[in-house]
Amino acid sequence: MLNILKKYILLFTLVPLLLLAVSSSYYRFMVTKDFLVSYEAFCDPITTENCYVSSYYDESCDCEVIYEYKYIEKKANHYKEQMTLCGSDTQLDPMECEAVNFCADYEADCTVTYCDTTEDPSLCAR
Amino acid sequence: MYCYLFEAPKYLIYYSNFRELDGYTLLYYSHIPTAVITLIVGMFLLFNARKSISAKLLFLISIFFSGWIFISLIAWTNINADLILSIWPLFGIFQAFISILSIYFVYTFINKEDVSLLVKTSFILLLAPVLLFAHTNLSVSGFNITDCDAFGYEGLVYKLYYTFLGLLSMVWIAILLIREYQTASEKFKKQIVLIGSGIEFFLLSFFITTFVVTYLAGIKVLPDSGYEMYGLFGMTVFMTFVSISIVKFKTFNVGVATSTSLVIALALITASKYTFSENRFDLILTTVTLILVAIAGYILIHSVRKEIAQRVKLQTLTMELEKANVRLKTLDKQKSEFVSIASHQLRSPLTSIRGYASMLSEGSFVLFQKKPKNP
Repeated sequence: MLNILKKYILLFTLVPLLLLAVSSSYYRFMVTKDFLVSYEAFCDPITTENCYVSSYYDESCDCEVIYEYKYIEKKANHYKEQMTLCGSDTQLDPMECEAVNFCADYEADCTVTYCDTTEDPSLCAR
Repeated sequence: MYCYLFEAPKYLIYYSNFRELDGYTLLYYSHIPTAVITLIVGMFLLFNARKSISAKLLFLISIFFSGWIFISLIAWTNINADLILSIWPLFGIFQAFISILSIYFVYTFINKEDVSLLVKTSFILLLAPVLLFAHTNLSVSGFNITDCDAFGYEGLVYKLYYTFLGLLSMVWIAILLIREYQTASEKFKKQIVLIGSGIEFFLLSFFITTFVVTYLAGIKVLPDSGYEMYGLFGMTVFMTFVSISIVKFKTFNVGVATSTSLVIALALITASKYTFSENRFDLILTTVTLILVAIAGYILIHSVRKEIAQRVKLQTLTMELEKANVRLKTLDKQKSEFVSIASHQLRSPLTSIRGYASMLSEGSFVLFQKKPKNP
């Protein structure tokens, strides 16, 4: 018995640990969604917000479209709840969902990041 | 929760427009053939050398490496943030297992027997932190659904630890091989160089590329981790070296049919590059590689077949000699028996004949036989 234990010690210890690691990761990220999610959110350069600025190529108008944004980071389960208020949890752009474009009072882990002009002014709208 | 800027893939990993995106050109070519060749070699070894611990370990390495490639493909092509994040910790786990199994493989390759309990315990202790902290914030804590990755949320200490395991395995393996090389036979020295350089090259390219590229992507120096794909080719080199070792030195005692199949598999996988080649330079490069693989494969198979044919001829001659030897022994035995019988059968009458002859020659026989004269 002891010899079998010695021979297969790697199997007896590492396989349960591996299964534990996989199942606990699955439970945390897939079931409870206990993680942070970050994304580019709507930013209004006309108000006091100091927005990031970027552009993308739009095939419909064959032109570069400039847009402003800010970074929001919040708990994934909150994000999911708020997105359902906008009627979708699939591939909806967060900029089109008002509920996820700010931090609610109950969201302790939520942070909004605006463009810092002291770092790289070219990234900022103003 | 989905990455809203990207298109959803089909069948979990198939993204039809991958060529339109920067850094994706090599995606399937670097991943799929590498995984296929790794699994082919791993399975060949497992089924042809079932009793060999080294073969089993190489099979396990191929499983973990292919697993890494599979989750890498999911991370590259899928847009489901929950799914990507739940498999994200497996990158570290699989890399850590590849490191430790590589050391274990080299140990058994050299000694042809299992490692001691002490070494096994040290393997467990080295792997335990990676497994125990995989689901915690030390491993990964969040996801960026705009960029569709979690590089910015990876724990540096955790990442450094499993990369350290890769570096540790390289040093450990180098020490083991150098020590063995000094006392090994000439034939085994060549195997050590072949297998050793293959595994070291694989570990170096895989761990260094993965760490550097993903770290730079995490701090936004690189737009994505596209360059890590080049690190995967190290495994193809290692598996090629293992195949050459199998063919040339009969490592793992794999037969000629298997060796031929391995070379054919290598050629097929090289030829698959044609499906991904986009320009003339790519086509020329693929053709040159394929020709080189075909020539090298032909020479190797030819030399192995020749050697096998010689070995078979030698075995036949040995068997014929053994048969002749047995026949000779039988004949010798029969001769001895004949001589013994003949000797016994002849000796008895000869003795009496000699006795009479002796009596006749002495004249005593005549005297006794003559009747006495009557007075």
